[in-house]
Amino acid sequence: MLFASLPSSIRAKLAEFEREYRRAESALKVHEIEVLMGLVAPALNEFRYAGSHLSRIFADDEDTNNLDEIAATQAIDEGIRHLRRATYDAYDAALLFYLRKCDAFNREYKHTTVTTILPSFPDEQTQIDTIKNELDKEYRDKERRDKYVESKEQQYLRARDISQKWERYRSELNKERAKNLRSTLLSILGILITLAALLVALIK
Amino acid sequence: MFDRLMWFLRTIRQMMILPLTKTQLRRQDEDIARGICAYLSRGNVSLQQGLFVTAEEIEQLRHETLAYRLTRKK
Repeated sequence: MLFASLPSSIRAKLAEFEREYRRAESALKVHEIEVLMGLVAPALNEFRYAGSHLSRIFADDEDTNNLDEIAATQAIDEGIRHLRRATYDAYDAALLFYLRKCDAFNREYKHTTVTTILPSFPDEQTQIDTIKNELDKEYRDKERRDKYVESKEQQYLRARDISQKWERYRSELNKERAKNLRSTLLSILGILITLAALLVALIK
Repeated sequence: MFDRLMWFLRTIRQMMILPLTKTQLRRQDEDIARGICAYLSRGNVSLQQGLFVTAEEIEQLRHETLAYRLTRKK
């Protein structure tokens, strides 16, 4: 069937399908290349379902003049829904990666005064927890997670920016920690020398 | 050297008839799946390296991530 002979409503839907496909594919690439965890199997499955819905329209339509417009529109809508879910899954996996990096950073510098080097640290910690609270709500909605696809990309970008910012400060924080450790050791050494001097004075 | 050591440990395990734990079995299955994926895949570098994340792994990540908070709960 020629594309031009399709009804305009279906052509519009197919154009939307194509847009969603590009978005889902780029989300999948983000995860695969940037996060280096490999391909996200659930997102790939959603791609498969989307392709299956699309192929069904044309498989059923033997008589090209009798395309069931309503059924075709529904099938494309279903396909778009699966593509949105694929985008959601790909960004979600990448987001989880960055959140876990933030958690690891937080654990590592638990006993270091981070705010002297990174004054925005408490605000960013709150932002990460806000993202987690939003996720908590999303994960409860097991059926229609594709609804949250718009916010998912924003959450991912926020978490990525924060995580990358923290990673940039890592070397400075390590220097600060080493400096603190040195001063602590020197203080202990000073106390020990004082005690030893006192002991010597008492013995004499 | 390492292969010999692994073979020795495997033999000891077989001699002692120690069954594999559930986690070890799951890891073994995952390794096999990744090996097959790496062997059969074409065109995608990640899959050729056997790199992919399954739904179960993502679910596990979700649980662990949400269980840890950076700030105190009000």
